[in-house]
Amino acid sequence: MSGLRLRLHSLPPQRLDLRQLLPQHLIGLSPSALEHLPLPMGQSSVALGEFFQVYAGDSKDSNVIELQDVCDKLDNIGQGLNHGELRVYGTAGAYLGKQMTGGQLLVEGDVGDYAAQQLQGGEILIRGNAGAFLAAQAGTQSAGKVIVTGSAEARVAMEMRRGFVLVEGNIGEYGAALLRAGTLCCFGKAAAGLGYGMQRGTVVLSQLPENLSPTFKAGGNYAGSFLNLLQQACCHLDSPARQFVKAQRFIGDYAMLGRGELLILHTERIIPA
Amino acid sequence: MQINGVLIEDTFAEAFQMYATRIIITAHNPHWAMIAAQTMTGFATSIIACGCEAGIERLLSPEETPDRRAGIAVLLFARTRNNLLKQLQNRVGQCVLTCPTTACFAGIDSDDPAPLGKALRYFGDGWQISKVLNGKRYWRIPVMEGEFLCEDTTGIVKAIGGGNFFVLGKDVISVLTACEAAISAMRSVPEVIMPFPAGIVRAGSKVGSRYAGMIASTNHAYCPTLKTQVDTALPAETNAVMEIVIDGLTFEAIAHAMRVGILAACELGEIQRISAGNYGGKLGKSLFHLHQVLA
Repeated sequence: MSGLRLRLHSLPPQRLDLRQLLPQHLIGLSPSALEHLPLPMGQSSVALGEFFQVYAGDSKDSNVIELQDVCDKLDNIGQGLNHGELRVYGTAGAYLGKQMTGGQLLVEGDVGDYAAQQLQGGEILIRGNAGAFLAAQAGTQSAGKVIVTGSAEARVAMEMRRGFVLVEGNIGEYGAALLRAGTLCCFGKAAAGLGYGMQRGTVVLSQLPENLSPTFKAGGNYAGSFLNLLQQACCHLDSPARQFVKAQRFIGDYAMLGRGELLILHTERIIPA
Repeated sequence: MQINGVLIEDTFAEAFQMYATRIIITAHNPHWAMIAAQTMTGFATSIIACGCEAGIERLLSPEETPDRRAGIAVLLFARTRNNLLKQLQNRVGQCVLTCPTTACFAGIDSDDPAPLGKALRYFGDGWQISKVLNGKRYWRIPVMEGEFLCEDTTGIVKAIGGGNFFVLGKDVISVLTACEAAISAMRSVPEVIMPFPAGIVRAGSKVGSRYAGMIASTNHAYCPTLKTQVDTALPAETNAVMEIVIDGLTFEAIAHAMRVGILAACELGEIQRISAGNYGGKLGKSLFHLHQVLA
């Protein structure tokens, strides 16, 4: 159910900026006005109708917008979203959900680099893989939530200050690098450089990362009830039921402030359905 | 009005506005959650000298608590907001934080927040960790046993304190038995507590005293040993009176608890009458007329 559907009918020759396509901008616009809405492309702009077919949705809720058959040349989808819901079907380009402050963004497909960059609120669910710099510099003002059901490339949550990022698959090199605070969970493999220069914050892993920096110190076993809250936070529509019982704790990065923690869920169990 | 041969007096209980909050205490098992809750709500029978009135509202199953452990909902009531904040901070800090395996969470949503972990975090001496999960802030405070997890704030709401009814009978045992039955039934009512020992008070009070500085003194009109000396409210055959005091989040919750309790007390048929305490309607705004409550 959506209030408005936009279907990409032809591929743009250059990268197309879709930051205008938000409920807060489109509310009250007629279909004709929508088709003439200028979208930045390169150094010029094009009318939305040149690439998108506009359909009235099957709901009167104008706070829900669907983008169908998108491609990886479509950037800034959902940038600045502050309320409502944006559903994206296909492979999205870079900067998806950048500077979001509220609302929900659902992606059925992969997303490019810098998704959820500087995220300040709201929730992003990506049913696919994410590029590099996912949720980088997120949470300078307030916290949002990002869930990726696939894997994410390098530098996930880099310099994140607040927020919660869950990657069901693997994360690339330098995940949580320079992390200031917030929580990154990864249930796949974490590549080298994890937690490089992190100051505070929590990284939750299901297995010990490759080449953990010697600037992290073993901090004993951890079985606090905070694990139960994490378990709840990691629940989403597609997640398997998990039970966090105990974790091995590492503290670091002592090359920096040394107040961050890695929790390795060595007794994490997947509960059969 | 009579119920099972017990006379219900045509009078009313007079209650007044209070500020209230609810917290949820969880622990490794129900035993330790109960220890923490009982410790925290100890010496909280009356605002006359305890600073607040507090009690256990109900036990919570793991499915009902934020961290999926056994828990207990505790209600605190005070006459002023500042008193409530002070009592909350002191009692959680000294009784829950110190109790093995516990965690503490907000139990009520409100636009008026009361600092919980926000105030207690300083016990962590700089080693405390703030975490925001699903829009709620929690504090992880390192302690010798491991870690005390506490939600940042809970909510404060306006509530009602001092709902009550008196149970009158021919002797102590019959009155006590009826009160025990009433309390047992009232425990199932949500949003209320009965703050006195096991919910029952044998020393109901009146406002003021002949002695300077005493804000409350014995309710002499209901003391059976004074029947011949004062303007008594007791019939000749009554030799014991006990009171059940009810604090609740809403008027309806208190009225429901009174109804449930009075019916349970009367069911045994061993008491003489039910009355209620009031100040002629001059002190509190919430009046619980017994006949209306039982209608």
